[in-house]
Amino acid sequence: MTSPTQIDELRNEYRNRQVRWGFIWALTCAVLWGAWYVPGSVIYAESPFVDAPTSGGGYLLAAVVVTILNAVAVLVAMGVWVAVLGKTKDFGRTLRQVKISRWYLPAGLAGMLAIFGSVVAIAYIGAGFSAVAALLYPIVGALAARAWYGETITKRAALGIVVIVLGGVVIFAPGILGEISGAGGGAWLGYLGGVCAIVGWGLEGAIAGRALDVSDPDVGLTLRFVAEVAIWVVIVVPICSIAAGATFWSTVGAALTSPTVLLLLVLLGLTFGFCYVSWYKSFPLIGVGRGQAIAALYGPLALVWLYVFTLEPPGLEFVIGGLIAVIGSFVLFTEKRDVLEVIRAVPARSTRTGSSTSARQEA
Amino acid sequence: MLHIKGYVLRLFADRGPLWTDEVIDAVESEYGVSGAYWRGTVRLTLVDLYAGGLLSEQDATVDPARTQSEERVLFRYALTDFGRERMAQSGLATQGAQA
Repeated sequence: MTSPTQIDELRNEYRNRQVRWGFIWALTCAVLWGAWYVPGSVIYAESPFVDAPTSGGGYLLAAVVVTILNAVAVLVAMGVWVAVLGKTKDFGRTLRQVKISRWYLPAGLAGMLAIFGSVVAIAYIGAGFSAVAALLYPIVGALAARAWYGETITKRAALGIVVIVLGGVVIFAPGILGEISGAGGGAWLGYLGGVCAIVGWGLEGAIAGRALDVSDPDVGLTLRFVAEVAIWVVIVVPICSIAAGATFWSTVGAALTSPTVLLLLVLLGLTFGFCYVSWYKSFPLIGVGRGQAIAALYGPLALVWLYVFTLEPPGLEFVIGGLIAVIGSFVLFTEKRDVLEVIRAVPARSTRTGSSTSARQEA
Repeated sequence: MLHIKGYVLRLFADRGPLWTDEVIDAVESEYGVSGAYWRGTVRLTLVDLYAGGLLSEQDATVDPARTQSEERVLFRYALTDFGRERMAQSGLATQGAQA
């Protein structure tokens, strides 16, 4: 017979594991998001994208094609993932719950704008600027989730989020100044892209956090990518077809017949797909604000991955900024567990009642 | 047929507070699934709902006879007002559900 104290210990251990897994998922997201930058940047060095003119609309067209193919690759990866988990039928059932599945449409739209915005920011200002702009998204996500549905953001969580963002800014700051001063006439497009990334990813998290209340994360993410691919195919592809005509389709055709590009698309689908799955899995467990802040460690981690593959050592600012970001993540992780157990400002714990088998006396 | 998370929420709305193993039994018979993987999936669904504030924890116990002879914690959960509100907003609330 297990004693009340032992039950209490096992119960606390279970809840600790719940919170720990929330952080593990968010960190997994950061690692894979960072890894995505390797195929994400290499693909521009491959034909047909390497031949795209850097001036005018050529680069923008290449960015559109890469982003569309990336979304399709992620959707394929997620289709396989959901099937492996035995959740394909649950996907169909969730899709038919229109009052739930419809929320993944604005989530997909916001995420799509964020991804495309950061690609445009890279093209017109620079990779460093794009990375820092995107790092600010947890602030939007945390504020939106708090204002919209009362997600608990303690002072300590707010501090952790700010410290992580600060760490990211320190890493990229020296490069940004050069990029901004060297940006050409189309720079405003790059800034607009940066704003799209901040607002888009922040809002996507807040919307997804809401939809995940009543649906499964693996299924929910797949629905979100169905929505994104549908928006690309129904709205953007026809526009590109009209605007760029043969150039658009020949770029798509050349990309899909290149074995190297196809391999890179597999890598893009796997890294981005599973980074997104981990992101969505962390939200119900630790909240949108914390999940996004830990996931923002992708900034330092992207530099680690790029270093592994290019052997070009990052500068001193990377070490300092990386340390600051890690300190910020510890500020979040070491927060008191009872604050983290239930992430919403709803009177959930006050309804606890005792019973004959209960080991817990406190309400 | 509802998706699993929706079904679990409706189960609480219809039947009141339930223990982990009761929810697992109901899901297994409703969807014709069984085994450690699906038991884990249901436990994770309950954890998500609890962390999100849709369920509240009312009680905890350990009873290996109800957990395949393993020493695992069983929780007794109840739907919160917030959970009820989210069910109504997402079309999951049913006629005749407990107040």
